[in-house]
Amino acid sequence: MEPERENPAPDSPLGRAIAVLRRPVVLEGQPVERALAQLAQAHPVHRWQRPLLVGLALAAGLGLLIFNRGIREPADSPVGRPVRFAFRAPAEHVTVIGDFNDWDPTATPLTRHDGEWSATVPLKPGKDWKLQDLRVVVFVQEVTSGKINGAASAAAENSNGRNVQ
Amino acid sequence: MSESDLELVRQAQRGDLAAYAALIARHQVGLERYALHLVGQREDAEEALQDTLMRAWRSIGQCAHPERFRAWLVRILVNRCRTALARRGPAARRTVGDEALHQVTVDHPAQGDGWPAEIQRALETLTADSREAFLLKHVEGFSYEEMVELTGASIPALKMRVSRACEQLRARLEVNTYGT
Repeated sequence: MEPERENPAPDSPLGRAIAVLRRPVVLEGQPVERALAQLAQAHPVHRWQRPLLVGLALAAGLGLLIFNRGIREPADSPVGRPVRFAFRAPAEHVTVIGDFNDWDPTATPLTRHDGEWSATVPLKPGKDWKLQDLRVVVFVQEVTSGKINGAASAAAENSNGRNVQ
Repeated sequence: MSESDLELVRQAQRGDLAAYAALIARHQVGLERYALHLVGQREDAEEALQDTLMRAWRSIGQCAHPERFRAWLVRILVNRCRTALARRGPAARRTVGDEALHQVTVDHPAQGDGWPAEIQRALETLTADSREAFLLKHVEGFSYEEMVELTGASIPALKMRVSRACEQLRARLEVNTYGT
């Protein structure tokens, strides 16, 4: 490997300019969110799940990952069933919000165990998800750099361990 | 790349849109940054990025090396950004627009308000090829070997472009910093 002769000194004007260029930018038109929303609308329903991504927003110090999923109402559970949300990513705080907790970000924090954040929430069909829709919001904050990169994956599974993502 | 990228790509290749969304979220900052700094104008950068994500989903089955998903995705973005510049004509291909660094979230703390604008003007002095190579190398952190895949150019050509870009930027920025 050849030495990187072009690497500028961090305290040089060029090095400082590169540091500025490496900062996140804001695209007000939200092209990522628009693309994912279009794909979600066109995504075919397969089996009993239909993930609909309705938005993915990043804010200073806080990332919002919003999944709007259609989940077929369990026929055998008129009063609902426990649904487990699991999330594996570098984060300082992860929470799930939706109709089931009145969109209160403090109501259902996920707890971390072996690098995985998780919470089990009893969801009632017809109340907590309406018209087969369940909206999940995950707040992510990257620990290492303090910036938000939205690194996230989300999963939910029902009480039988059946993956509903 | 990370094993979690690998697993998410495999899930996305099986049609899991949520896994694809998680992948994109993971690389979103770099994608937005590259598109805006290369293309320069916000609307064109947004269109190039949106188009990239749509195309990538449709062709993710062709991603033969899921462990190198980021490079595969950026390659599509590089091509879409080139197309965006080509649509705007020769003048646009040469210079960035007025908006790129106005979208930077935070000004450099050691500099006054004029610093991002000065970096923008310095970038305007670069050709599109040089700006592309400089951003991939020094802002996005790709190796020259990866850049060959992304751009189709040879390593010597890429090194020359990066070197020239650094030389021009250094001259421009040092003159304006030190007044020499």
